[in-house]
Amino acid sequence: MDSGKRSDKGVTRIESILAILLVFSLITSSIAAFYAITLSSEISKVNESLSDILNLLGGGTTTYRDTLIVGTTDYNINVEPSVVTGYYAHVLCAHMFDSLFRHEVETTEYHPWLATDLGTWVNPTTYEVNLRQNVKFHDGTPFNASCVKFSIERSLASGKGSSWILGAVNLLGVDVIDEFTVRFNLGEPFAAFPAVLASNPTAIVSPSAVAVYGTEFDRNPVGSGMYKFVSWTEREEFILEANEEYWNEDYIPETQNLVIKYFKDSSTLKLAIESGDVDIALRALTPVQIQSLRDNDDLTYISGYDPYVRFLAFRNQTPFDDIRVRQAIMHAINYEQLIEIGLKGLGYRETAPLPEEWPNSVNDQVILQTYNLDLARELLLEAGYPDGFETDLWHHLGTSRAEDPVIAAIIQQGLKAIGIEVTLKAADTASMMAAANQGQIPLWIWSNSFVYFDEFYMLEYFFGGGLMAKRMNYYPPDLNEMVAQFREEIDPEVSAELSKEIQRVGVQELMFLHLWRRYEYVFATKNVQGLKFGPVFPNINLEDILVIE
Amino acid sequence: MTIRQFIATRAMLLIPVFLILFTLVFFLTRLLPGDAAMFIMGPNAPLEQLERMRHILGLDQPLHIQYLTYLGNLFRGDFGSTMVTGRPVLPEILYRFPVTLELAIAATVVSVVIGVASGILGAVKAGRPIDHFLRVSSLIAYSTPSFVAGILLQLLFAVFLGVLPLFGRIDFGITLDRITGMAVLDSILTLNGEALVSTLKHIALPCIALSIYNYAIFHNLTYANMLEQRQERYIYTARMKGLSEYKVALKHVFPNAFIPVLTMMSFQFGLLLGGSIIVESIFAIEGIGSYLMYGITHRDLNIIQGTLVFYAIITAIMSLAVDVLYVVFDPRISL
Repeated sequence: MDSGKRSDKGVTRIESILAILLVFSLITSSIAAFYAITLSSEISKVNESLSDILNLLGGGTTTYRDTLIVGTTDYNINVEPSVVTGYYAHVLCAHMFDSLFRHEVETTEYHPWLATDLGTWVNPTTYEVNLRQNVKFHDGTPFNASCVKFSIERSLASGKGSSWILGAVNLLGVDVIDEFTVRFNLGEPFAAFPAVLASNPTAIVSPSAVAVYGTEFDRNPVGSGMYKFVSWTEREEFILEANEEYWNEDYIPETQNLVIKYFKDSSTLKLAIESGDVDIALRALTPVQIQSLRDNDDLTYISGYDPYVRFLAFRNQTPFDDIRVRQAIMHAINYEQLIEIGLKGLGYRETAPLPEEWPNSVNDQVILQTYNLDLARELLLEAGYPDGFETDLWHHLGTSRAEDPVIAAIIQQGLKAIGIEVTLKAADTASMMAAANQGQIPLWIWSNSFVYFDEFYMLEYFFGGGLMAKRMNYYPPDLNEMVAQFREEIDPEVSAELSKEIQRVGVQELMFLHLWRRYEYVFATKNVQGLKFGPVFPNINLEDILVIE
Repeated sequence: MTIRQFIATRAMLLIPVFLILFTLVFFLTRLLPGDAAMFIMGPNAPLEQLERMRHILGLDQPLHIQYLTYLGNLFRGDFGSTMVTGRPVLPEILYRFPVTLELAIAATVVSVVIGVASGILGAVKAGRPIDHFLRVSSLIAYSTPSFVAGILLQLLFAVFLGVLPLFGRIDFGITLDRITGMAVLDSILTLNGEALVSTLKHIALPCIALSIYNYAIFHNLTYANMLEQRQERYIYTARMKGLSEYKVALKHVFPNAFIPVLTMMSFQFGLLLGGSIIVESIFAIEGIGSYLMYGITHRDLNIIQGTLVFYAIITAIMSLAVDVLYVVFDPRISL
C-alpha cells in the first residue's frame, strides 16, 4: 500500500509536469506558428520587392513556369463536340477543337477560323463556306471539307449534349463541293446558322481518330485546336499540352502544360487559390467567398459578365395568368436588397431578356421594375386578391447558384408584405427540371446561357413557343409570330428591329421577370499574367496566360 | 458445427439479405425526381429530344421490366453502364474503391491504435489528470464533424504552415505505376521513394480528419470496457499475484475488453467506407463515395445502384469475416 501511495504521488507529480509541459508547448507552438506565418509573409513581401527592383533595374530576368493550374468545382462529364454539355466541357472543347468560326473573348462577334470567310447564303436554306488549307489535326490527319461533313453530320446524328441544337435548326446535311468548300443544307431558313458554326457542337474532329477510338473518342479527343489532349482522370484532373504546330502561330499557347484541377467543394478551391496550389480559380465560388478573396492582397482578379441570364418565371395559370398579379409581384421585390444582400453587391440589375453586352439589348430602355409596395397592394386588390394567396417559389440549391436561396428569401419577404404567402422549395437541377417539365412549378428562379451565340437563341428560348413555353404554358401568338420572322430574317437592320421589338413586347408581358445578372469573378495568384474573360465561349483565354516562376 | 459449415450457413443467409437489399436499392433510386437524360442533353434541350434520350436509356420501360433486367444483370455480375458516359460501372467502381479503401484502412489503423492506447491509459490512470485530459480530448473529438476537422486541418497545415498538401493524392508531375490502386502501397511496391513521401503527405490530413471521430469512439469503448473488466474477480487475483497495473491491464483486462472493440472496428470500418464521402470532397479525392455522390447528382441510376450494391456486398463480407473472427478470438462463442 505504501509503495502504491508513493508510486501514486510520484506519477501524479510526473503527470503534473507533463501537463504543464503540454500546455507550455501548445502555447509556444501557437506563438511560433503565428510568427512563422507572419515572418514568411514578410519574407515573401521582401522577395517580391527585391524582384521588382531587380526587374526595374534590368538586372533580373523573368522566367515563366511551364504549367498553368486552373482550379474549379465545375467538372465536365464529356468534352468532345458531338456530346458536349456543361460549362467546362465547352471551355475545354473550345481549346482542343476548332470550329469554322470563332468568338474572341470579350465580344459577341465571331470571325472566320477554320473557314476563310464568313460564308454566303446560296439560297435561304443553303449556306456555303470556304475552308482554310494546310491545317492538321493533332494526330497528323489533314483538315478538309470531308472532315467538316464527317464531324457535323456525326454531331447531328448524336443529338446528345448541345448537339441537339443541330436538330433544332433543322440541319439536313453537309455537301462537299470541293476539297475546301462545303455547303450546309437546312430544312427551313435559319438566319442565325453562321453563329451555330461558331459553337462547339459544330467543332471539327479528326475522322481518323474517331475511327481508331470509336465510342472511346470522348476519352481520347483529337482536334486541331491550340491545345492537345494529354490525360483525363474524371473529377480529379484534366491535362492538356500546347500544340506547338498550331496553324495559327498567334494562338500557340504561352504556357506548355494546362492542368484543370477539379474540386468537390468551393471552400477547398478558395483555400487552394489562397495557398497558391492553383494559379487560377474559375467557378464556382459563392458571393461570400468572392468577397473574401477580393480583399486578399496576394491575389488578383478580373470580373466579367456571367454567361447566364437569370430570371423569375411565372407559370401561365391562376393566379399568375393575370398580368396585374405579375405586376404586383414585380413591385413587391426590393431590388436594392436583391443586389446588395442577395448578390453581396457582385452583380447588377437586369431588366431585359438579352444581356446588355448584346448590341440590340433593350436592357437600359425598358425599366418597369420599381419597388413600390403600395402600388403592388393596389394591383393585387384590382386583380381580386385583397388578402393575397399562397404559392410555391422554387429555387436552385447548389454552389453554382449560391445566391439563389438568399434571393428567394428576399422575394418571399417582399411578397409577404403584400399578403402573398410564399413557400420556398429548394431543389437540385434534376428535381427542378423534372418538376418544370411536368408543369408543376408555378413560380421559379432560373437561368439560361447561350448554346450558340446569337440573339435569336435567347429570344426563341423565352418567346418562341418551345421548351420554356411548355414549361410555363405560355404561347403568346404575336410574340411567337415575331420570333418566327426573326428566325428567317437575314437582313441585319430588319433583324435588329425585330429583336428589339420582341424584347419590348416580351418585357411588357412580364411572364419572365428579369431580375439580376451576376458578375463572374476569376481569381489568380499575382504571378499570373494575361488573363482575359468574356461573356461567350470560350470565355477565358487560357492560351494567353503566363505564370511567372 | 465446423468452421466451414458455419461460414457456409452464414453465406447462405446472405442470399435473401442481398435480394431484399437489391430490391430496396432499385426502388429507392426510382423515387429520385429527374433522370440522367437531362444531364446528357443539358437543361435546355427540347422535350422531344429528352424523350428520345430516355428511350435510348431504357427509362421509359415499365418498372417491372427495368427491375427484372436489373436483377438479371446483377446475378450475371453485370452492373450495367453509366447512363451519362456509357462506360461500364463495375470497372469504374473497382478503379475508385482502392482509393476509399486506403483512406478507410489508414483512418481505422490510426483511430484504433490511438483510441485503444489512450483508452487503456485512461483506464489505468482513472481519476487522474491524464484521464481527465483524455476524456476531454475524446469529448472534443467526438463533437467534431469530419468536415470541420478537415477544413481546420487544411487551414492550419496547408494554408498557414504550408507543410502538408491541401488536396489530392500525389503531387503533380510525380508518376506512379498503378498496381493496387492504393497510392501509398503502390509507392512501396514500386520502390518509388519520391511518390511514397508525396502520397504519405497527401493522405495525412484526410486520414486525421477521418480518424478524429473514430478515435473518440475507440477511446470511449476501450475505456469503458477496461473499467468494467477491472472490477472482475480474476483481476483482483492477478493484482494479488503482484503484477504491475500495466501488466494487469494488457495481459488480463484488455483481451477481454477487446471483443466489443473488434465489433466496433468492423462497424466503423464499414461506416468509413461509406462515410468518407465528405472528406473525399474536402480533399478532392476521387473515391467511391465521390462516385456515388456524382451518380446521385446526375441521376445516373446505374452508378447509384452499382455503388450501393457494391457497398452491400463488401459490408456483408466484412460482417461474415467478423463473425468468424469472434469464434477465433473467443472460444466461448459456440458455433
